[in-house]
Amino acid sequence: MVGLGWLAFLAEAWFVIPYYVIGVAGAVWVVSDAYHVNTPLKTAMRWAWPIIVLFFGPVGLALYFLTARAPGIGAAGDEDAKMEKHNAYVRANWFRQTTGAVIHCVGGDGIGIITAMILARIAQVSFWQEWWFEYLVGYLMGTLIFQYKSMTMMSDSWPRIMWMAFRGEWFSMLAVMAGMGLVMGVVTPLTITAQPYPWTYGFWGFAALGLFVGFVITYPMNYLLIKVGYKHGHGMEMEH
Amino acid sequence: MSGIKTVTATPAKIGVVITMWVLGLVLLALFAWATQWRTTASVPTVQSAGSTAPASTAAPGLAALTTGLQQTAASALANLRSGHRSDASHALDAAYRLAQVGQENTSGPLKTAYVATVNAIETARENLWNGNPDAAGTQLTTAGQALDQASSATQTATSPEAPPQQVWGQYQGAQLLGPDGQVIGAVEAIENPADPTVHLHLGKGTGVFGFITLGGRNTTVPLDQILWGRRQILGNVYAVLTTRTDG
Repeated sequence: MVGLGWLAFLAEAWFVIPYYVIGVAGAVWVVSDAYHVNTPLKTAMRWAWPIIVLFFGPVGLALYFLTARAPGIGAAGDEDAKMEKHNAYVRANWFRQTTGAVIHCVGGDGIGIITAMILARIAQVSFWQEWWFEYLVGYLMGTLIFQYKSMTMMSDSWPRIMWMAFRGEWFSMLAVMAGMGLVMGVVTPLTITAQPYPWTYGFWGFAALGLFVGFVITYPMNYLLIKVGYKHGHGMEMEH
Repeated sequence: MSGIKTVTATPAKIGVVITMWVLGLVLLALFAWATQWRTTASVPTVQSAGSTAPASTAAPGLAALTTGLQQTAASALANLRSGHRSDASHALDAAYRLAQVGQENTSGPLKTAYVATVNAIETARENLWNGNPDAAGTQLTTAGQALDQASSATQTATSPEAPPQQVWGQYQGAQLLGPDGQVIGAVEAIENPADPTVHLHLGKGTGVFGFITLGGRNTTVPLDQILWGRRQILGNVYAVLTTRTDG
């Protein structure tokens, strides 16, 4: 049996409590920053980034600074100057573009997946029942809220917006749930036993790990989605 | 809307879309394979410290279950104490599955012992979920003591009653466990009320994504070789094949 015991710290209070304290505080700060300083962020990104920072803690904050917040944006004069500075920053390389696309996806999916996971663990459903339930809820929340909002910039026709949202989310979700499922179905059971309850440290520690693995695995998929023009990153326009 | 360009289906873009499909499906396949590997993997064996159920008993199925559970719980405890957390966790999950079936199939002193075992294993799992392996070890010791009592009680236990025909359909698709608690297949159907037989599918590729079966083999056993767990609308329904198979 593969040895994953070294991950047991994800179920220990000394790690989980400070991790989520940083996550909550960081998420609150990101909300404030997105509405008062880093205002060029698109609406969907304003919703998604706090979720990412909540679950990714310090890593989420680092990603926010590295990919979504142009240095010195607070000192930029008016909104036009901020937008110019923002676009120059986020469109500068594929890393920032792709991270933006992944944030859309994992933020929206993530809140759906974790909500479904809480309900499924309370109901004590089987592993595969839980996985499919999380897939459905995550996909619907990611598509109908985050991707839909994001795609409203791309078209005036709501059927076309829906199609673009479902299409973009479809491929991304395949990869996210492969990563999430790997942590749920293999890593967690081989570290602290299967399907911990939501009122335990292990649930939150491994939920964060699952989302992070999903984030990493869906990264190349989102790179391809941008390449093919099904999604866009941090910028305001679709680019091909 | 300014800045919007139409996506046209060039060969390069078709190639990228095909790549995305392949990547997505390969990732899902790898995840499903890893999950099946984990659920069907054998439980590492250790010498049980407690007594084992005698071979001659009025309830051979319960004796086999109790022996398997003792060995699985002992494996969980030994691996936990030696720092092999993955082996310990795997064995503890297997023990939990077996204990739940045992609780469903017993009565009197044996049921009391099984209830105590289930409670101790549930608490041990919660201890691990909260980062407390020492407390989990204490609970597994308690479970071992309860199982020693169960082992004694099996000598006077009667075989559990087979499920009535009206509920046979509710066991269709139940996860089939080996005597050590690992998943070895699924129940396909129970047939022939006059001489009930159970159709089983054995194999590591049973129930992939919850409904796909890949490979394996079919076999039929008498109804009394199976111990039936709790029927549920949602959640796992377990059945234990109390005789060993090369599955």
